[in-house]
Amino acid sequence: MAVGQAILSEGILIAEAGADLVEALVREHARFVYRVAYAVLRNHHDAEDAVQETFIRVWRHRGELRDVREARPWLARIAWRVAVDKRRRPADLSLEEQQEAAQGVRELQAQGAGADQLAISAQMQELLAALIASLPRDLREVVTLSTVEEMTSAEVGTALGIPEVTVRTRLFRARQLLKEKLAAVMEGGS
Amino acid sequence: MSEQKEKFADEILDKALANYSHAEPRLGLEGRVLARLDEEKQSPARVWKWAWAPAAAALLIAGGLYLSRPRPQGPAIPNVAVKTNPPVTAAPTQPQPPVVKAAAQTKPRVGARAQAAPRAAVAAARLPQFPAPQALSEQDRLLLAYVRLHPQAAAQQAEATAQPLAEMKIRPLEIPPLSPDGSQSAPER
Repeated sequence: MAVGQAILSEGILIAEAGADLVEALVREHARFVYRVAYAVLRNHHDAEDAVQETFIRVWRHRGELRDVREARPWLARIAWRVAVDKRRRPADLSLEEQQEAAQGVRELQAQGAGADQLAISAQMQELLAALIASLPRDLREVVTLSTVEEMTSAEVGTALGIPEVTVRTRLFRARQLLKEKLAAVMEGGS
Repeated sequence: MSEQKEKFADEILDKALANYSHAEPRLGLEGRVLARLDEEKQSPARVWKWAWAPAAAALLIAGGLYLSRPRPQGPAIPNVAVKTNPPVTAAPTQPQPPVVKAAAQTKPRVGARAQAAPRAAVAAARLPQFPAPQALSEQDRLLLAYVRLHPQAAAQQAEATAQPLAEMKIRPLEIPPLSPDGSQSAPER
């Protein structure tokens, strides 16, 4: 179990120990926070800025750490808000950008790329970002956070402030929509 | 959509989603975040370190203003030597009550402590110059205006007024000797 999470769950924090705890949280969860921010921002520089901003907020509210039971979803929630505030461009990509991304995937497919090669290609990642951005907001939030490794549905629900069941339902709907759109792209449509 | 294509799309979607947020930060992320936090920790300390400066400056300014303020004019001490009472015009058949008594009647009686307080205030506000400077009277202001308007005429009048005083001589006092019969002879002029 994470160091910060263990300490937090035991509820033995005192305000004076807040600084040490924040440092422990940074060492334990900085990369996780980075991935949450990157899932939203899709840019390394902006994601690192969001990580720093997230932990500065944690530091400023270190007196409230004693009330935190689970560090990961709590940090994910802060990082999510920071990243969404930081996102410069609107979530919805233009139709032209989506078509450009789809064209790149079709070209790879025409060259005989397999599923593994396609999945990790930059073209597919760009297309997936465009498809996710085209989802309704409630579905987009759930699927974006659930792509972060090791984030369970319960943690996504805690981070977004919705029940776990709702997370699962939205995730299922989001995947269905994404699969349909992806299949349409790969068949040659948009 | 055929089952094969759907399965292929599903497989690609799973793998693409798995890689979607698989991003590695540059090396040393934790160190950079901790360094940034150190700056954040020190910035409030810097602010509080100098927080006393504005308060101290305000106190210094207030003290300076207090010391350099114009001294409050104490209650005007009546100059009994030059102040003249207005002539009594009442009928002689009605004796006027003494001034002190009248004042005592018009003012409510106060205790000894209340009377001592104004005395202490007057003593505290006592000026080094005696008699205390007073505002010019109406006659003083008229005279001043006249001197400013006609300085030569005023100077001549002042000289003319002062001339007899300068020439006046006092003769030595002469006391005639007493006569044996007790009568006193008139001094010769």
